[in-house]
Amino acid sequence: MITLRSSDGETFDLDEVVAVELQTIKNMMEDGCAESVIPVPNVEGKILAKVIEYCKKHVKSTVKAEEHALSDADLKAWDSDFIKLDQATLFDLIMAANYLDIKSLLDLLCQTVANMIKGKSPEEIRQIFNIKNDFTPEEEQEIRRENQWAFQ
Amino acid sequence: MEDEEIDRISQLPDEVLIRILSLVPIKEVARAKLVSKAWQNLFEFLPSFKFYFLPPRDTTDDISSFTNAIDSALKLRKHLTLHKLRLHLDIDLMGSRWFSLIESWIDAAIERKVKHLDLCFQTEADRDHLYRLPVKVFSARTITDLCLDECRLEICEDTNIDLPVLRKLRLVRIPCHGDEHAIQKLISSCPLIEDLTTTCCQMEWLLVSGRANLQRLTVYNCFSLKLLVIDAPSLQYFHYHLYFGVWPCDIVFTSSSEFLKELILHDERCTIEHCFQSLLSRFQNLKLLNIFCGFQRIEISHLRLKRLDLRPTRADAMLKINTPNLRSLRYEGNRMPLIPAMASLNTSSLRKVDINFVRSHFSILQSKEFFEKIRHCQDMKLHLHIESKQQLIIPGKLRPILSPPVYDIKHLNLTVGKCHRYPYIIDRMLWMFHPQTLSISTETAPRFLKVLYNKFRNKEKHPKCCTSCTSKCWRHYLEEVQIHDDESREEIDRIMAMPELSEEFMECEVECKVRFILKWRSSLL
Repeated sequence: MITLRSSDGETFDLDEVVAVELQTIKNMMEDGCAESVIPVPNVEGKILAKVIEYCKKHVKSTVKAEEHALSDADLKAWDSDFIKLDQATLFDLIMAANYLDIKSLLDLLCQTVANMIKGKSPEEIRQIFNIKNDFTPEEEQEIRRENQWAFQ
Repeated sequence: MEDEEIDRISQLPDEVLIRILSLVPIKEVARAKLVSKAWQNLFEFLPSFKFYFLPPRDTTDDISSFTNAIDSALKLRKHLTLHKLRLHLDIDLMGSRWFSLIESWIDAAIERKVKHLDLCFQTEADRDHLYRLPVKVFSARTITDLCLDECRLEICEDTNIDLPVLRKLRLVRIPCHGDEHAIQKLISSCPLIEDLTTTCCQMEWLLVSGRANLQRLTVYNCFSLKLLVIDAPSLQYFHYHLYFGVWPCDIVFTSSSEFLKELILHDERCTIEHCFQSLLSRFQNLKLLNIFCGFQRIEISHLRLKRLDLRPTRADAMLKINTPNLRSLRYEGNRMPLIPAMASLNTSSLRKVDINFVRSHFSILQSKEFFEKIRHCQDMKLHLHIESKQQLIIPGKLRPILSPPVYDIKHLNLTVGKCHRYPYIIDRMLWMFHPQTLSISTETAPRFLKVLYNKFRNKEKHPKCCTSCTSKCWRHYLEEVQIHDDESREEIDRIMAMPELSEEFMECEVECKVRFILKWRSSLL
């Protein structure tokens, strides 16, 4: 049993088999640096809770696989519910998945953001993510000219 | 400060933002340079580039901005390792004046230690005028995945080939006729190769020798092949596909094939009919056999085979199956070859059966024995293709002694073509089968679906028909009908909404599979 403590003091107990889904934690365990309570200073409680929820669902234990085998289709359905998040939580989760090195979660979240970007014009992308346009009109023209092939 | 107003995405670390952008099509990433200055510079840091220049979408109007983009993408960050470069170019459209620039791109990718290189030089020209691949590619020491499509390889005796980490090699439309030694030299110079595919390469012979790590071999549509010699002791998967053959091909395995698990043979023109038996007997540990062929005799005798996927194209094929440990059987073809073969098959291990009798008459008596043999299978799917009601006639003298359901089939896939007497077909069908799921395929006539749905809808809770019959119809056994999913429901609604004689209805088709879930009683209602 491993305990993680978030930046705001919340603690979460995990089976070892779930904890190794977080590569950062796994490395600590393998190096013998893991104490009974591991502080995770960069991640808030409410985000850490969601990370752990994901890892529990996706744990690749052979024992678990036999008992509660979730088919690929079921897992995909669960994932598509999981990513229904507001932007703030989405990006906090990405930072946490990156920091804790959870490849499958990071892939899922990056694909989610990529899907938000696909098919959108630069102006639409700015609107969705509140990005400030820091180009002058001349600079914009220049970029359009240089990248004509992409605007065809 | 409200969350909605913060630009959180630009606060992500660059490597995460790059990871996100590498999932977006490259033209859109280039357009996204306009989003902000921070985004403008990310393009050249992408780890993979997939560039396409193909008609009709691409024209020569914008070609210099396109070539400049590739140029700067590949050459600006020279010290950054490149994961993948894909160039699919139509060289007829581009023109040969760009060839030296293309070569410089390949050079740049190799300098950046590219791992996956995927090059296609589409053209209508004959083999002498194909793009000549720079020989440098063959000494790109960092490549693990190489795919070459429609180009000349220019490998001769003193060409230095140095591909120490190449694991996956795909050769597509490479002119090999007369050049077989070059291909052999290439394959022999890749010590770690695990996966080799040759597609539409017209060599007359292919020797895959001394490749200790080779696990997968695919030979796809190489119709000039006369001799295929394989020395690959670790081979696990062998796929041989040929849609049309010019002459017979000899396949010879010179090393033991004890690891071969999966064998897929598609051979409509019987180019390997003569060596099929001996091949099969070599592969003692075969688990999966997938065979789609026009052979006259198909004899499958194998102790360890677990999965068999069989599609004979000849209705008069003589089939013999002796596979006592078979767990899964999939069959698509005329019913004639399978029924007698099943009579002698030991089906005790069989758990999963998927049968598609294409364009066959459904003979009740013969089929009864067949279905008896597989009734214990937990997962059973039957595909029926009905073109006329004649296919379902039950001889009068049999009707009293065959009480429904005649066959115990759990999943029924139905294709009903345009014909008459849909109500008759439905009644017969549901007498013979009480399936748990009934799927109507997309090739079915929409009118059939309409008639079926109406019958289900209008079925009374306590049917008053069949009062004088000893065998009651399906209405007396069917408890409940549900539509399986939203897609099915939408499709039914769509078809039901069209007026019968409207042009719209006359010309429409069933656009997605429609699934019903049926609950049956074993005793009468």
